[in-house]
Amino acid sequence: MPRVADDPKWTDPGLLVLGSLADGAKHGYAMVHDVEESAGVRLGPGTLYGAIARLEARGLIEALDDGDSRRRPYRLTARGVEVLERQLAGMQRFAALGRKRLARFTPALGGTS
Amino acid sequence: MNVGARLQRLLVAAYPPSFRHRYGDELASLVEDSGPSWRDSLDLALGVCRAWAAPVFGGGPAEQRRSRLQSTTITVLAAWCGSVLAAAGLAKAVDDPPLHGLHGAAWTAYDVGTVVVECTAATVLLTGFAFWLAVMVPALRARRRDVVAPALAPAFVVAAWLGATGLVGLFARHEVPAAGIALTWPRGALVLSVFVAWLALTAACVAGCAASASVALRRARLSVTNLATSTVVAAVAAVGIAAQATASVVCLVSLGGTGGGLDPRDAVFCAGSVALAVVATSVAAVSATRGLGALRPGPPGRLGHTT
Repeated sequence: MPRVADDPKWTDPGLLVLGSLADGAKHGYAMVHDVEESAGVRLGPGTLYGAIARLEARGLIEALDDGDSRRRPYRLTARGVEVLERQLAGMQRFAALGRKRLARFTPALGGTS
Repeated sequence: MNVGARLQRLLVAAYPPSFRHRYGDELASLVEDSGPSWRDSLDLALGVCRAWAAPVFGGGPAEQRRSRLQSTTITVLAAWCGSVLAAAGLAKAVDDPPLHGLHGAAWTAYDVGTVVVECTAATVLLTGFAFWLAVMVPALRARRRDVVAPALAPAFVVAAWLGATGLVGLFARHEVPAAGIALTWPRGALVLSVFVAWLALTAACVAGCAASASVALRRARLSVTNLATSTVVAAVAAVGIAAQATASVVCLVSLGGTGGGLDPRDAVFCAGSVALAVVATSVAAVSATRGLGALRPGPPGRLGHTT
C-alpha cells in the first residue's frame, strides 16, 4: 500500500488560504493552525506568505489595516469569494463523480464498500 | 537566540526588498511565534528562491507595473555588474599576459566581446548618470538624506577601490618578479593572498555599488515614465550582456580546442568568468523580458503573477 505522503494532492496553498479565510479574517499564525486542523496540512511560513502575496496581487484577498504590522489580518474580497465558490463547486462535482464511479467499480472488483 | 532562529532571521532578510517591505514584519512574527524548526527553515529557503525567481508585487495594477519596471532596472544593473566582473576575469586569464593560443576565432571572439563590454558599459554609465541626476537633484532639494547617502555611496566605493588597487599595484611592482622567474614560499603565498584579497574586494565593491544604487532608486520612487525608459535601456544592456557571454563562451571553446596555452589555474579562472557571464545573461534576459512585458498594457493582476 502506498504511503499517504505519496498520494495525489488537492492541497494547493492558495486554495487552502482562501478556504481558511472563508469564515472570517485571520492573520498568518491563525491561518497556519486553521489549515492544519481543517485539512491536515502544515503550511510553512515561506509557502504561506508566497500564497498570500499571489492571492493579494490577484485581488482575491486583502489586508485589514488594524495598526499591527506584525499580525496583519487578511480577508476574502468579493472576487476571492467568487473564485473559492467556483473551486469548491468544481471539487464537489469531482468528488461526487468520483464516489459514483467508485461505487460502480468496486463491486466489480469484489470491493469492500 | 539559537542557530535555527538566527538562520530563519537571515532567511527572512534574504527575501527581495519589495517582498520584505510588504510582508517582512508579518513573516518574521510568524517565524518567531512558530519557533525554530529545520522544516520551516527549508520552507523559507524555498520561499526565498521562489520570491526572487518569480517576484509578486503588491498594490494596484499601476503600483504593480511600477514595481516590476523598478525591479527590472535594479536586477539588470546587478547582472551588468556581474558581467563586468566576468569580463575583467576573462581578460586577466587570457590577455594578461596574452596566451599563445589567443588568435584566430579565439582572438576574434575576445575582441568582439571587449567591444561589446565597452559599448554596454558606455550605454549603462551614460544613462545611469542621467538617472543618477534624476534621483539626486530632487533628493538634494528635498534634503532627503535617505536617498542622497546611497546615491553618493558608489562614488566613495569606487574611490576606495581605486586607492586599494593603486596600493596593490605598488605592491605587485615591488614584490612580483619579472616574467619567467618563479615565486617561492613564503613570497608566493603572500602575493597570491594579496591578489585573492583584491579580487574579493573588487567583487564586494561591485556588489556594494549595485546594492546602494538599488536602494537609492527604490527610495526615490521614480515615475513610471522614467522607469519605462530605464527598462528599455536595461533591455539593451541585457542584449549586450548576452553578446558578451556568447563571445566569452566562443573564446573559451576556441582556446580549449586549440590547446591555447591555458594552464590549470587560468582554465579555472576562465571557466569561472564564463560561468558568471552566463548566469548574468540568464538573470538579465529573464528580468528584461518581464520588464518589457510590463510595458505593454495588460489586465490587472497579470503582473503580480509570473511576469
